[in-house]
Amino acid sequence: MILIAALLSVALIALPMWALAGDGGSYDRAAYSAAVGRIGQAWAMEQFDELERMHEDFLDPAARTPDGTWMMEAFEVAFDPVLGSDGPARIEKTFAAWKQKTPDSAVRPLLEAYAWQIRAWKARGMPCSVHGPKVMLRVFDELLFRAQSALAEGGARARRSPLWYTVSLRIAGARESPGLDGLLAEAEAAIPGYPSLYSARLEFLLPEWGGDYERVDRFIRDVAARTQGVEGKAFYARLYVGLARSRDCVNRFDESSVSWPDMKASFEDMIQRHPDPWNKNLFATFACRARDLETTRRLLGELGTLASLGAWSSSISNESCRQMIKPRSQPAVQT
Amino acid sequence: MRILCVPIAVLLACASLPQLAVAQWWNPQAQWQKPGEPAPNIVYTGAHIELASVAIQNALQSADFKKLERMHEEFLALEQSGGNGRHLLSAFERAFQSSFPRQDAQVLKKVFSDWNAALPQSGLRRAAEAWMWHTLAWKARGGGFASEVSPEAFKLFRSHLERAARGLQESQAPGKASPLWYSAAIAVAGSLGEIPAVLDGMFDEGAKRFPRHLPIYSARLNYLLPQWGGDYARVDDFIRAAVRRTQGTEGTVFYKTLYARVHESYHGSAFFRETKASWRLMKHAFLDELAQAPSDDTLNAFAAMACIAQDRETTAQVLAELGTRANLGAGMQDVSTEVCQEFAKGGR
Repeated sequence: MILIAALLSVALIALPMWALAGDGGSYDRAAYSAAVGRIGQAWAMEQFDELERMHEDFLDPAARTPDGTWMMEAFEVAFDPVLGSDGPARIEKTFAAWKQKTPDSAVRPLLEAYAWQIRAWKARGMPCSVHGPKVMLRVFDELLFRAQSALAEGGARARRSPLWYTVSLRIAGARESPGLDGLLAEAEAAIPGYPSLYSARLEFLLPEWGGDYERVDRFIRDVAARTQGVEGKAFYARLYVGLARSRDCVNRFDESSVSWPDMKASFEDMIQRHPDPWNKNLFATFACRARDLETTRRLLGELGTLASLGAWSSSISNESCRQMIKPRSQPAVQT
Repeated sequence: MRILCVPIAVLLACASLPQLAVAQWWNPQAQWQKPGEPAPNIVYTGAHIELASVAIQNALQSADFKKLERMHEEFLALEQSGGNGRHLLSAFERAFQSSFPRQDAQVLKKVFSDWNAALPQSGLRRAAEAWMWHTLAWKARGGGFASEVSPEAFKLFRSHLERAARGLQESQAPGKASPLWYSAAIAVAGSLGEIPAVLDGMFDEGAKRFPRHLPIYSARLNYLLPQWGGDYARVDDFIRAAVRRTQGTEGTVFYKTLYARVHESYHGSAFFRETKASWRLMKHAFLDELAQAPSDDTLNAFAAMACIAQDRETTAQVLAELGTRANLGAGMQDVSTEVCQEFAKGGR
């Protein structure tokens, strides 16, 4: 408890109850960060009404920040570390208290499924190999079953949430279900463009699940084509950035079949639709990573003091990228 | 399971510094105490070190340099007395390592320039500044393999480390009064690729002056690991020597604490087979720690290590003691509560 209190005191100093950011009801990056903090705090303090309300607010597909991030993603970002580090007894106790308080909640079983799914992956350990010790795989399977039971308990109402599909895809993928692509198609029809749906499916195309980077690339290009009408080519960059982000034991991005010219075109589309510094910083980070001097220089110039390069990219920083674009001094001409 | 002897020196030292040992002025979450009221009997655990680290981070953020200096002075006195609270000083390194990477370089540089203007003679400031440059160096380099690092990033890495080394060199007189100077000096020299004899020299001097300051040991240990060209035999020799050096006040606790650092850097699935760690000694070290400062954190770490060591009986005993408070493997990749519960029940 002392530790929890310490963490809360540094990260969540007196966060107010959740409210829409701004009078017009639009969200910005600060609202997103606040939502992540607020969800963690509401969980720790068992403020279930708050979690229900935030989930309801974020069901609106328009609940997105100017860079295109869905506010619903705040639940994933907040819950992944918390539920991976809370003990199972505490998780059980919290959900039991929630169930007692709001027996007909559709959000509680959904988040409970989300929680057991996270615990399942934690139990499985060894992120780079499917074949762990038998006891780990058995517990993994039991926890996935528990997650699936919670999903079923949520009923049809829970399917309104992209979290339902994200968890379902992760369970189906882990069980190597042949219906995985059908499930993604259903999810896409229900909630088009929610990024975790695609990254959940993509995970099971990686080499550790018997896939390869050619299949990963085909999938990413398919998704970018399918979402072209709404997002342009942006999903090509989004999904490859996601690959750079998930660096457990290998550098998946560098090992992949990513093409910088395609990624650049994809970022250009993304910036056109979501001209936010967050996206420009991502673009500049990957331009620097690709050692594209001209693009890096242009973006650093446009960002000015808002430059903050380095997301999910080891050895990329404002300083190193500025060094990279510095004109080289000419060697002295000997006469 | 409640265990054994608290080293005599710890008890004596606790008795000699009663007020300092329980002083909680720095902790905003400490229980309110009326003037003249007897201080509550606090046994400091890892959670208190975390609280102190948060207080240090907040003081840095609010430029409350006097608070930092006072905390450093009192924690150092506690460390040197060898009593309860003797590990609170390591909260400084924890705070630096946790907060510096998250902050903008310009903001950090301003903090240190303000600190210098306010308290130019501060030795703490010089050590903390070296930690800042060390952090900026690693931020520029990133944690990836050398082959993934751009030439510009390497150049920055080196220049920041050299800046740190220069600062440490220039501040030897005031700096060496604090163990933080030594932990920073070893970390910087190790990152610069100094030869083992240089690191050993710094370590020996630091550990002689501040034998209880764990970060000095952790810093040296880091550069004995295989990823830094070392090997597990040298790691084991170092840890055993560290235990001999600290046994008077710590019992064998350093054995499990330093091997926990080794485990953090280990990515395989056979820790006790691939390293030279002995489960028998580690178990003894956990029991020593529980006798000195019992806490759920230690019990959870004990159960997790027992589970990794495949010691079913101990895993089951400690899990039973923890009951619903069991939370194994937070921050570890190869262990979880559910799997260890299953293992304790006889699962394979």
